[in-house]
Amino acid sequence: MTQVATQILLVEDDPAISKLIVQFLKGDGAEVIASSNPERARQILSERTDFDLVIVDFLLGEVTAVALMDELRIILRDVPVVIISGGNPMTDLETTQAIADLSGAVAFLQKPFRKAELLDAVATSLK
Amino acid sequence: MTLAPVDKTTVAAAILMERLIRGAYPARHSSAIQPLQWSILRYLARAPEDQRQLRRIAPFLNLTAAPVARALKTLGQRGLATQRINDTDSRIRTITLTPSGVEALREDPIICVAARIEALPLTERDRFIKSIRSIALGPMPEPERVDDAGGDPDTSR
Repeated sequence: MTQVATQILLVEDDPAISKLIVQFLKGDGAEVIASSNPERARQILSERTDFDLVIVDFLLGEVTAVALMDELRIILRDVPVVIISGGNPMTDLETTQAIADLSGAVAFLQKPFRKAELLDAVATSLK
Repeated sequence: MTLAPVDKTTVAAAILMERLIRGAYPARHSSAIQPLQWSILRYLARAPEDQRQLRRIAPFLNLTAAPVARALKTLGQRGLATQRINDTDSRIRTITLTPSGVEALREDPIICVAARIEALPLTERDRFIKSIRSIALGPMPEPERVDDAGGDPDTSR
C-alpha cells in the first residue's frame, strides 16, 4: 500500500530559508507548497485545503502572521500550525512565542534551527 | 520615546496590568527566584534539548549572554538546572531542568495570573486574549539588538 505524503503549506518570505525548509521537508517525504506572502497563501487556500500542517514565518515582510493565523483557524480548523521566527524589530522571541500560542500555534521554532529540530517539530505537531 | 497624552482610564488599565503582574511575584528576597530566572525555567521546560543552550536562550529573551549566564549559574547553585557538556562539541553546554526545577515550575507565579484569565467567561476571555495580543504587537520602542546571536547560519534570517 502506498503511504500518502504529508501535505504541508509553508509561508516564508525569505527565499533562501524557504528553499532550505522545502528541501528538509521533501527529504523527509512530505509534499510542500511554498508561499512567500500571506496573499499568495490565501490564494492557495482558496484552491485547496487538504493540508496536514502549516508552517508560517511570524514576520512576513512588513506584517506579522497574526491575521493569517486567525484566518487559518477558520479555514483549516484543526490543522496544526507551526510558527517559526528569528526575532524581529517589533517583538522579542519570548513575546513572539506567546503571541503564537495565543493565535493557536501548536509549536514555535526559534531560528536558526537544524533539520532535525524542524522535523521533530513537524512530527510532534502531527501527533 | 515621546509619549502622546493618554486617557486616564487607559493609564488606569496599564496600572492594573502592572499591579497584577507585580503582585504575582513574591517579595524580592535574594533567595526568591527572580523574574529572569522564571523565564529561563519556562524556556527550559519547553524547548527541545538541542535548543537548551545559552546561545539560544539569550536571544530568545532579547538579552546578551552575560545576564543569562549569571542567572543560569544561580539556577545551577540552587539545584534547579544542570549543565552538561555536549558529547561531540565541548564548547556547547546543554542545560536541563532538575526534578527540583520541574517542581519549582509548579509554583510559577505566572500561573496565578493565568488562572485569573482562565476564570473569565469564555467570550470575555477571548476578547481579552485578542486585546492583549494587539497591545503586544502595537508600537513599542525598538528592543536593543542582541550581541551574541549564534547558531546555524542557514536558517537564521
